[in-house]
Amino acid sequence: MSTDKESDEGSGSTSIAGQAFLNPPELDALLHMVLALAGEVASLRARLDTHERLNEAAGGWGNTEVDAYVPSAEIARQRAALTDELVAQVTSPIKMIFPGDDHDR
Amino acid sequence: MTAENASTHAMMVRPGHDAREREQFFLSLRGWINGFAEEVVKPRIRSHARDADIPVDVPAAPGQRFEVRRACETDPAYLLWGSMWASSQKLLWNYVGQSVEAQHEKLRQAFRDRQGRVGSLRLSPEMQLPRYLTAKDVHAMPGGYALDRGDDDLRAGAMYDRGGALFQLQANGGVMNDGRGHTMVAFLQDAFAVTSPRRILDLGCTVGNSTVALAQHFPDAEVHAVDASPAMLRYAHARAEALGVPIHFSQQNAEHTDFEDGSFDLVVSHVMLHETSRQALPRILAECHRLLKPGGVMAHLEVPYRYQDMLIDDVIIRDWQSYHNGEPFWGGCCTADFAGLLTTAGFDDQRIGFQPSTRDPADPNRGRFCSTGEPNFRYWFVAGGRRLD
Ligand SMILES: C[S@@+](CC[C@H](N)C(=O)[O-])C[C@H]1O[C@@H](n2cnc3c(N)ncnc32)[C@H](O)[C@@H]1O
Repeated sequence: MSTDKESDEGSGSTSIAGQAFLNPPELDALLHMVLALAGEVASLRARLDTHERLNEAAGGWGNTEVDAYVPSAEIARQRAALTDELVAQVTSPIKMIFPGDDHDR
Repeated sequence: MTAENASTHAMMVRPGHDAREREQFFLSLRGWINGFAEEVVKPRIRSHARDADIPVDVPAAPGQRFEVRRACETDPAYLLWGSMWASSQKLLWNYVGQSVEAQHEKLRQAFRDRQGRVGSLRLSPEMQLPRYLTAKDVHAMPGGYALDRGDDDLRAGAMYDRGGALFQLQANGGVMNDGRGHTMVAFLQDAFAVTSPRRILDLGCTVGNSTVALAQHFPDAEVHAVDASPAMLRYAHARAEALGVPIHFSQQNAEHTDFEDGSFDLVVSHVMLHETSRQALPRILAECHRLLKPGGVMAHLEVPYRYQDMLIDDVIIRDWQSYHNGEPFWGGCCTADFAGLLTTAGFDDQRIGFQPSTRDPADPNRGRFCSTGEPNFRYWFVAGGRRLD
């Protein structure tokens, strides 16, 4: 943070983007990553919604059918495997810090 | 198609499907952040002020904001709010920048094709930008006003126009971004009975959004506009040409232009002064005086925040811009003694106060110039005077 005196002709660096608010400053970066991700989720969700609405307008399935859809046991298994893989990837840094098994040996 | 009935113009970048949704996400996020400031941060600011025996229910002395701000700098809610605001600003430019990058070639072609049809553009590549425009990225826009990659680069203008329209979506006339220009015309009518100026100058025109509104209201006038930023001016020129509005743009420092003494009937600026400096402000006013004919009118429109009339919690929230959005003179401008400055610069018949925002100065029901207003975008602060000698 800058000092409390009137800043007038800006001292300090040009980069506004790099300024720190939270302590430790890495929290600013983390918060930004979460917000940026949320932005991508919002736009992806809107894109899916566009697909459903366009398809429905063209006489195909839409929102209602998607909501009513229940995957078969086989498809559910395939999806669960994908989700397991995602969870493993997302949590991989923790595994790097706490490898677990290695310590048991 | 005139700008009057146009909902957009040919130079405005058009976001694709995903970019549009990202922009919408930005607006939702900013809405949340502003709500957090109102509901969580402001009560804490008030409590810090009370702890320091600073009044919270009536305006405090503007200088007391520094003490309250110091207390806020260790307040987790204030810091979290600041972090999120800065982060959302980064996202805004990131989103807009993607659209601009994708369409820059098209914009550049439009600039080259339409150059000089009804107006003109004069750049001065050797000109140094004032330090206050290069020391920080104003609005945290990457590269700020100085961004110019050469070869007819228009990126800064395209980003500013889209970002500005988005940032203040309803507050400044939507995609045309011309609310300030219309409001200026209303001020000139109410306070100075300006009807048919022959030569007009707009200082710090950026993308010419306000200039276009002015030129449309005074179609018989010769309209000039200056800015320091080359990429803004290229875009401004292409934008005005696309709208068919004749404006003569030139790259100049508003503190000392190359126009002749007494060569304008009207010199104005819109939200430029707070992006200059304490030293530059009186120099710009003196330059306005030099440029005006006797009897000519100078008028400046600024953000509607006069700290001496505002409650401390609002002051602290607004003053954040001074420190973290590349606008270090924001607070200085919001506390400047305009009456004194105008007097020193030689202006009489001063009108300093608030002009209700309008998109149509001809509307008989629009609000009138008034000495008091509110610190929100339903108003703009205005300061003007006449050169008498
Ligand atoms: C916030 S923008 C103004 C926007 C525009 N007038 C409007 O109504 O939306 C401020 C502009 O003032 C310009 N500026 C600041 N100081 C200047 C100076 N000394 N000479 C020329 N332009 C200046 C900046 O380059 C920037 O484009």
